[in-house]
Amino acid sequence: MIANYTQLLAERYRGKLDQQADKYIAYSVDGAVRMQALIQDLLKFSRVGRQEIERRTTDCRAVVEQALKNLQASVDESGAVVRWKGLPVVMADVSQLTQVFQNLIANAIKFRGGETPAIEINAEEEDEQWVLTVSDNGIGIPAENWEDIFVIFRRLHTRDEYPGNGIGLSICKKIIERHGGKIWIEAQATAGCCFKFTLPAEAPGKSAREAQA
Amino acid sequence: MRTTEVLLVDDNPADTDLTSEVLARNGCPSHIRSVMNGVEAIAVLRREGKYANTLLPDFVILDLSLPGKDGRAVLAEVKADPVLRKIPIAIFSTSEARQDIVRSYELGANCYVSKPGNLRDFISAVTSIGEFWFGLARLPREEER
Repeated sequence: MIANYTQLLAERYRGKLDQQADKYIAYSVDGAVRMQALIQDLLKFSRVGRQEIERRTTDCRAVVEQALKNLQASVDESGAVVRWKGLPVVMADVSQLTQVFQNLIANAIKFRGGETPAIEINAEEEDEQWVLTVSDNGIGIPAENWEDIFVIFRRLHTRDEYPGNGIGLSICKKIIERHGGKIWIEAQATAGCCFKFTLPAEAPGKSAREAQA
Repeated sequence: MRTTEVLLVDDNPADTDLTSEVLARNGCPSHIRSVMNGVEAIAVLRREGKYANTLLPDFVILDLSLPGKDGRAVLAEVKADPVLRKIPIAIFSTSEARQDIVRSYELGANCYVSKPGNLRDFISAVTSIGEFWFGLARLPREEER
């Protein structure tokens, strides 16, 4: 509502007051729009922390496909090429895991460099857990920020460079940790960024087949 | 009274403008330079690059949440520098979290003021900062730094 009316004020009265007033109106519109996005993001963040996790046998391939469907517009617009292989079946909350892949892929597209985004997703089994990797050829993240980038509201760029509230990765971290895993950034040989996270391989005390039955 | 060189570090131009306006309106003899991120703030303080010929700030008003190098990192770097540490830094942040307040003082902040959410309190906070730091408090002179 505030955003609507400040925008209306901007449309109807721009140039009719004075320059200073136009600037105040622009700040108000900007602030209202930003606050709206912030509230949505905060609600999402708090929901992830409160909601019961519905752990089900989940095929990561289907999850990645769903995440890509949700990101269809930006994938098409950027021409991003997303490749995946060896994705496992894990015990996870489908919608939350989709959110994790969606945030990581969306970041890979958003923080692309000059080249067409190329995103690789794969997995390795290690000590009864899966280590999943999402790597890209984008602008990368300086090593000094590899930890604090997961803190809520932490941003590495000005809003003019890249919009956003700095919530996406903190949501990923919260989801993965609630699943008993961890998420981190690792160095990679090529430019870009390499996110890794772990998920328990299957239900404790059950084989994958039993869990699926 | 000589002019106080003030460095304002905040990534929100709406806050920067209002702060500058209030400081100027209160007749504080100050020249205000504002930058939007930590890297730029350090460049001003170390007089590097395009700031090579500018005056060293007498006082810094610093926001904590900045993109990239954030306010805490700027504060830590300045207070670890034997010359720059003499420049008083006021943290001016929307955060009211105890840990942000305590951490700022640990790092050597000279005062911590929470950025009020409404206009009247915002104006009064900035006015108080100006009156105290540019009026009442005695600051080191340039040659003493």
